[in-house]
Amino acid sequence: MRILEKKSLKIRYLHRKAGLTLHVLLTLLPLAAGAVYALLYSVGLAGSLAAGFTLRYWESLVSRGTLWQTFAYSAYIMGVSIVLSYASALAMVISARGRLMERKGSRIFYLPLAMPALVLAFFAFRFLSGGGWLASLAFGSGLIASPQEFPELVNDPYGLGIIFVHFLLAFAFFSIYLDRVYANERIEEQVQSAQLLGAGYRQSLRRVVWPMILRKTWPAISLYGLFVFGSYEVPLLLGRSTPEMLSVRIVRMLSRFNLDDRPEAFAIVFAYMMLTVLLVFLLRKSKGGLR
Amino acid sequence: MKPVTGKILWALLASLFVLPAAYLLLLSFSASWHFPLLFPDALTGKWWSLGFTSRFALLGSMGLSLGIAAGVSLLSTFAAFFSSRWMALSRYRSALLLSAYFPFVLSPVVLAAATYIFFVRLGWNGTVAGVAFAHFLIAYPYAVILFSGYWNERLLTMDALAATLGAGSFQRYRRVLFPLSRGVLALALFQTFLISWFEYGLSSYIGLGRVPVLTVEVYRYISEANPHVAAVASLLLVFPPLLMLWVNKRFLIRLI
Repeated sequence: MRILEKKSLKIRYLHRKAGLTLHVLLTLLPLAAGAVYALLYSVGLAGSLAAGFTLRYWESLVSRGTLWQTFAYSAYIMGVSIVLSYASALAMVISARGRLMERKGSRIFYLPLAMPALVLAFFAFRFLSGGGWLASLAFGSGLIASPQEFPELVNDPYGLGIIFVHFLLAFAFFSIYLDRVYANERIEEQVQSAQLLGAGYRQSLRRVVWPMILRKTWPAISLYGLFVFGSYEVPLLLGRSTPEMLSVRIVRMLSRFNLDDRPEAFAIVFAYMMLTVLLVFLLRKSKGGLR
Repeated sequence: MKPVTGKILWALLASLFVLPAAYLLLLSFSASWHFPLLFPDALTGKWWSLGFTSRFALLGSMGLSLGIAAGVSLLSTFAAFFSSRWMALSRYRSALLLSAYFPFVLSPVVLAAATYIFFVRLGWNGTVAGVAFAHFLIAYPYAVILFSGYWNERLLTMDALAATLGAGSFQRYRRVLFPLSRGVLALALFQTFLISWFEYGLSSYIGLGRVPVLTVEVYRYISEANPHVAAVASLLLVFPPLLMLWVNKRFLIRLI
């Protein structure tokens, strides 16, 4: 009996070990190996250009401002897309008093989520470009006389097309999510209590709804922001070569014939990976952050 | 909000959400549609029939994408179910869960760029197995995060009770854990399927364009300035998620 018990414990121990080892192998190992390789490549210790330790690729990136420009542009697209979509979704949810998804036809909010970003970017390109549907509408109504007169909405320096697609996706997502949070946290009841105690409508929004919703949803906002920051397909189709979003820039630098670009591309990869790790850590440490 | 304003806003939103699918559907059936036409001059089914010929082979691409997504979804769901159970019992639970967030939030194409050399060394670049494994690397952490809140005291106690009553590990999974977890398993299966199904950057980078999954084909037709076949391929790409939406809308909400 004792032998059987011992054997069962041993099997249990092996299962546990296997489960946890599998997890580490699949999550941390590829990431750590990739980060180390990117770092070594960027300082001249790995890859086809390895000729001994050097910081010249990093210095070149920093002095030309490429690193900051890429990060700043990605952060700008992320910030504008998230703020616009979150604010619009919140306004919708508040005006529907958390019963947005109970309305007839609310299933349409799920439609953009059924579309890959690549497909939405393709649609946006056909719809917003100079020879696209919106330009045809402007031409038909006499607003423009030729496609050249139509404002640049795709492949433009402000990333309007990219923001449009991210807005569409994030607005749908936040509307569904915030509506659920509004109902689950019984925010409407809290608003009514605040108003019974003498708070005005605006005051109850500012003091009750906004703090409660933000506290509950900011991990999702941050994660969604990180997705937008690293997005690839949308800026690939709708962006331009300068300024350029991070993922597109990395891939473009890695696919160029000029091999000198590769160490710099890996320097951006490493910086981005470290930034992501730092942000996830901060998100985890913060109050009410990731579980 | 006044009822009329609300109705107008609702109608605007409905058109904004429906527009992409409706536009692509019309584009896929249009003989030609260019500036300044607001609607196609004639309708035709030739892009659909052309899409399925040997030249375009969209059906083959769809089959390949379905195969990869189904395999990735099955493997990542069950691997994550297995490892998340042990994570729930581990004293390092918090650190282990944190490790799942890193590959999950990182841009998939950057992950592909950073790890590409290892795929080359293993001979997996440009192969179906390589693309499937790369998808698995992002689908698995997602499933772990999804299951992380699932292993509550009640479930773990049921599992322990079954063990005390003499059930072996296999029996506990088969008779206790899987039947109790049907809902969350279905959710993880569908959502990891979508992660793989929607993935473009990773597939094109690791697959080198030699693994013609549907997303890679959509991009190819767009860059070849073949918008009608790109629209057909896009609609094929949208079809399974729409089917999921019809079955259960919860399947489409990822991230939370």
